[in-house]
Amino acid sequence: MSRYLIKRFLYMIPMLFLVILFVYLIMSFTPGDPATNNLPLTTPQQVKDAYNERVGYTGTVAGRFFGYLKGLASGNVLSYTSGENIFTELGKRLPLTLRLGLLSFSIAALLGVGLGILSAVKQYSFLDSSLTVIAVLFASIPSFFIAGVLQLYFAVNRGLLPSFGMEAGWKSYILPVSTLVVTSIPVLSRMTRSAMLNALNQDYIRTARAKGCSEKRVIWKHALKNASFPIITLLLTGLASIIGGSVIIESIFTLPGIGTYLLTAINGKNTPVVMTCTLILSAVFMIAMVLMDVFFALIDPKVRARYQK
Amino acid sequence: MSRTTKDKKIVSSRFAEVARRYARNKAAIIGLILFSFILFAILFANLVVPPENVTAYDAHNKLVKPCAEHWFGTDNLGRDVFARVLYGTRITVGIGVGATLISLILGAILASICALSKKADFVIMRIIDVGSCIPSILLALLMLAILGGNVVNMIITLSIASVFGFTTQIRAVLLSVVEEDYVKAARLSGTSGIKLVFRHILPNALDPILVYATMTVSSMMLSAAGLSFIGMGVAPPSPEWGAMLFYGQKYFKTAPYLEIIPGAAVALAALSVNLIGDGLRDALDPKAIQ
Amino acid sequence: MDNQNVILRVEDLSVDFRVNRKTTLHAVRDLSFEVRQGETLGILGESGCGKSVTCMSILRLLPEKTTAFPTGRILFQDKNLLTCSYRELKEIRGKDISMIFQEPMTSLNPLFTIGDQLMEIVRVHDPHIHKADAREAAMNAIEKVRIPNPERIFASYPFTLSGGMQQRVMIAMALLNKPKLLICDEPTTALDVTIQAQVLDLMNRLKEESGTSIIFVTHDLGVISEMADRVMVMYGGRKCEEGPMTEVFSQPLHPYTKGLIGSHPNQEETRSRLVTIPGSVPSLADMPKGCPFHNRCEAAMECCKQEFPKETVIHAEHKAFCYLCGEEESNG
Repeated sequence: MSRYLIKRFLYMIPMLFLVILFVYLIMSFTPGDPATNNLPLTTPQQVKDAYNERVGYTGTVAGRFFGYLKGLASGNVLSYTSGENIFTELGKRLPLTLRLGLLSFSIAALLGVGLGILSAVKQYSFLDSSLTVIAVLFASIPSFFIAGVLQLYFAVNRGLLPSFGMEAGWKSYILPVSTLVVTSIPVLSRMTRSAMLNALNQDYIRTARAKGCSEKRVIWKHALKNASFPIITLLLTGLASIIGGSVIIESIFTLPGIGTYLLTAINGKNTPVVMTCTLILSAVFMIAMVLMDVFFALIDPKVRARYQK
Repeated sequence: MSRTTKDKKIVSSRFAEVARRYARNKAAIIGLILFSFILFAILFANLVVPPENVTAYDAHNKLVKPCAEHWFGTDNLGRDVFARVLYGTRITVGIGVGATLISLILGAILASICALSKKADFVIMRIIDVGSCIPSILLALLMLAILGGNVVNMIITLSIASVFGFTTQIRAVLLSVVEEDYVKAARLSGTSGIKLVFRHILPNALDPILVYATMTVSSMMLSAAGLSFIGMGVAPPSPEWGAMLFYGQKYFKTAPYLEIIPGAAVALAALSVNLIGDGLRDALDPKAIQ
Repeated sequence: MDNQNVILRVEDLSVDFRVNRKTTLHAVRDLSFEVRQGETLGILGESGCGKSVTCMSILRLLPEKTTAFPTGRILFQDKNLLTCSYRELKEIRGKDISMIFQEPMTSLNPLFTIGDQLMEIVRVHDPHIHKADAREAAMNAIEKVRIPNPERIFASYPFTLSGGMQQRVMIAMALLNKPKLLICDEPTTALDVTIQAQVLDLMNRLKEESGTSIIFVTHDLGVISEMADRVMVMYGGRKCEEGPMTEVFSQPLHPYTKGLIGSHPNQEETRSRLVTIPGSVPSLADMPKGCPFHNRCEAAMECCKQEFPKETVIHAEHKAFCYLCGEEESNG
């Protein structure tokens, strides 16, 4: 198992390399050098060259890519716009995005999976059908619209919560987190419901009932363990949508996280920042994927048997 | 009875059966009705409102509340919101449907190659592994930054961003069909290559792909509106719903309808497609657990 | 009739499936039968005749709240299983009445070891039992069904076992709590013929040891002739004939029973062709009025299309539901 884990983490390195190479190739199509993009038009060429030199924009396209890799290894990559080390800037922004993402993800996972199980167990009940209707409705409402309505209702009209920024401490998290949670729950709960129903319709559930197991035991032990495979896969998709969604959410609530950093970097053709942010977000996603595989291996005897060989 | 007419008869009776089941589903019918309104707006918008109203500024009628003359009011530049929302249908729904179609076709081609050749499958799947590690909205943002925001670029961007997911989905369906006995039988009797794909594999894999594609249309529309909302998508003065919502947001104290109406338009369009997708899934496979 | 002897009595059992608001399917109609102490009652019929539904409704394993509405009475130890509380039902399931299903490959939970699943049936009914005792009981049960290398089987997962082995595990599980009644729903249909013979042999032996009564459901005449003491033949959700196994096989009364037996290849006879029953089993959605068999019956009369015939008692043990049987009786 530990050998497998090491293998998986080593496999991430070439994958991440390809991801940033891909991003770099796309970004290299953008016209202009950092100095032209960031300094006033009238700046003399000498100053411009010095600026480019300072932020590491020298040499060929390939040379710059390897320069970036070198910088990445030594922890010193400069931003094209500010000329500062990216990692100091990221250090200030990463905790916010992580907190926002993890908080939203845990709440959404808990509520979404919980409601899905409830729906499946009470199939055809009033609760089930109303949850289904609500889920379809909310799956269709764009996140930025929900954010706007929440801002309008809780911030602008009532002044209960701040509508943007991070100045108000924990209160600042409420609206962004609620938006992310509300937009992720519908998919999670509906897919959990079908995974759970699928498990509950299996023959071994009938066997468990015929054995005299209580309904609780049937649901929580026999069905849920089997349904956990699709549910975990689903949570991974949920995580991806929260990572992607945080870009939009941070920009709506003007939060100083990685999302806004990335967005301004994309607009400002700030290639090193774009690459580093993509690297971080993709790495988070890949680690989640490895964790998922580990979970599968732990719970599924068939998968485990394959690794023991 | 010749072979083709018999085939046709089987197809049409299956179609009738699916249509009958679909018609029994109230939510699916609501989705279809909503979508027919959308289709009407796309095809006949110029019969209802002249196209020049979309960008016609009226300095005397800024921020007029919804009334008989301006059904949905006017915006901060005095443009008629009803005209803009109506014409915006073409943009958002067009992007959603267009991008889905392109990535559907690309995905189907790639997945068919995967299903036929093990070597190609390995290479394609590794590329997809890399591609699907980048959140698709990020990919879209990157590409839009280079291409610039307009309708065609949006379609290109969104279809490329979602082609990874599409290929994986279609490939899974195809591989399960390839394992079926009738495909093995066809292979044994000498059918191969493209003919095998078109005659035996794709037709039998169509149902789940169709449902997945329908659902994708709605997520594409939401992404398109979202990208325009953060200023990366279709640029003003095009009446894109997400962009309209963004510019309307500034006035939400005095004119909340500027935010609510485009938002509701996106939601209704996405809802109609979602309902149709749900209905299709249930009608195509009544035994499946919903 | 000796009531002491009867262990399960089913009276006027009907099971309806409500498919949607308009259609209700009658899977089982007015079915009455009894199972006696230590006997094996075979239920014989083609697929879709309601035999599985009957079994399931005894332990109430059908989705009751939504689609299946069983009416009538199922009496077990003076308790009506159809109306008893969920708690009472839970006590009976797996302890007094056990069940074995058709698909051993899918009937065991893939994520738990065989040992876990065997011990579960003990521990569910005796929560305070010591783990070691439960383990011992489970090991004994594995040994009883003659699985080689019980220690290894105990710790392994279902996917490592063959279908025959899995069905043996199911049998071991069903017999662990020494039930008074064992319901077997086509237990050997999914198995190879050689494995099938082994499993049937094992079941007969275990039955002799334990004295458990068995309801054995199958569509296979060969299997039922090896297992059953009495046979009940079902068609279209109704009983058409019931009697001692040898008598039903040698002197079938109902045209459907005759057809079934006629269509079964017999080793002693060499006929050039097997007799077939014309047509096919009607689907539950368009079950004909009157006797469900009338549109396939060569001797059908006008009255068959109108009303289901009353029971004709040949003698205390042998009964049939056919207008013809009554006539034969009066003629002879």
